[in-house]
Amino acid sequence: MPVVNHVAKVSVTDHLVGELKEAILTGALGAGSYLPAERELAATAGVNRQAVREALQQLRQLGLVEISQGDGVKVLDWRDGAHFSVLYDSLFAPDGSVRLADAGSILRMRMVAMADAARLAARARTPEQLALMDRLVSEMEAEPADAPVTPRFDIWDIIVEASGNLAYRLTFNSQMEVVRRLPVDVLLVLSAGARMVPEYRQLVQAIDRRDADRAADATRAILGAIVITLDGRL
Amino acid sequence: MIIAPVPRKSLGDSLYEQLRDAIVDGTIAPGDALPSERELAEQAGVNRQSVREATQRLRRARLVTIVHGGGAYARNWRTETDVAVLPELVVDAAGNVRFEPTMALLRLRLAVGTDTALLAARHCTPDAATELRAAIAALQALHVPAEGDTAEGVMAFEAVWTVLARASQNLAYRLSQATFRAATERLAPTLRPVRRAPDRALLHSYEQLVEAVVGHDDAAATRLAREVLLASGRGLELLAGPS
Repeated sequence: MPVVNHVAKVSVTDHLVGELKEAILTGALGAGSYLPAERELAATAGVNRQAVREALQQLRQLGLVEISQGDGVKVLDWRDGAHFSVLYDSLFAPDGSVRLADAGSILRMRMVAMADAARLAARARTPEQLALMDRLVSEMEAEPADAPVTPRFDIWDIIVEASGNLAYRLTFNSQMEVVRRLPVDVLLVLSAGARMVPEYRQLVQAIDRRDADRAADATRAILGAIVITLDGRL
Repeated sequence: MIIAPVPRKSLGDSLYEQLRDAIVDGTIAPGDALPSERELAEQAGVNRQSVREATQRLRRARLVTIVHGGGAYARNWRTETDVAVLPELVVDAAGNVRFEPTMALLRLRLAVGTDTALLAARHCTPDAATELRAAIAALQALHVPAEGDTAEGVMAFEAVWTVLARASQNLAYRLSQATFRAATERLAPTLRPVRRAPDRALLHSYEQLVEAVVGHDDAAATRLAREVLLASGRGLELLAGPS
């Protein structure tokens, strides 16, 4: 049963990666410290050395450790050099609570990235994209004022598409990765701009008129609302 | 001269890069099946273990889904991957710079970098100030302006940004900077022939930027960050632009 063996081995590696990653992110294994030797790790984790080697390679690819011949496996300062995806793992404290400062850090990044995406979208949007944005904002306007808050992502998806900038698409995807992981109550708290319907209308109007500056300003107003709440000021 | 150690690329890593490029270029379109493990091993002339390493790495990078039974299918990387993939996009396995992702990255970097400098100016601690000045001293010691953009010089500029990102106290910016630095590391080997004139003005702007941050001057920090990023970007634009 080669397939089953293979799957089992991968999950052993993934499990070990998960454990070591957590130890590094929480600081239990601090920057500058060394991981136990391969043989020792294999014995403690009850896995074979091939699995340990694969796990260490994955940690290296994530920018969490440095492997050098003869010197062993050194833990790096992950905040300075890790793979961006480590952000998602760092969103939760070991007790399961959300680290708001870290979740908030990507909301600030979202604001500056989306403001520039809106700027590009104002120049590059197609009539179809504009019609789609207009329809979404009309739907928001039609909602009763006491309707439950719904975080809005669909319109930003279109703006990112209209910007034609791949890096902004990837930034949007990163933000959605964070969103997918957050519990609903936290997400609602973080959606301070969702009710800013007039600002959304201004945004679409600015994009319609190809007014890049106003499109960026409206974006900062909407997505900055939560940044102000968390950070005090823009 | 210092010779950098040549990275020992495993067979799995080089197969990974080829498959990654094929997916990113659309040669293997979203939903397409990758060749089977056996076929890949035969075509690439590597063992099955290396093929598995490559496909598992593609899975972790979210470039493929592996279904029960071991078949791998390309995912839509534009919607499935995130910022972390950017450094992988700027240079292909053959060492050619890709224009679109490089330009897109520079634009993101300009937006994130100016805000990083603003936050750094706001939150700069005495420790951060010491670190920033040390990073500038390292730049000066390299005589970067006299020697032009060597790979080493470019990485010394990156070191300043790493410290600026640390001073900003924004985790997303710190990890973004790690991403930008990784992209620069890949671009650096292609840099040397591009820049013509040594750039004293750039070093001077970096010195001013650090002093603005240390002096808690938000506005000057933002302006200077924009200036240095645009200047570095221009060099890359020359490099990556279609001839």
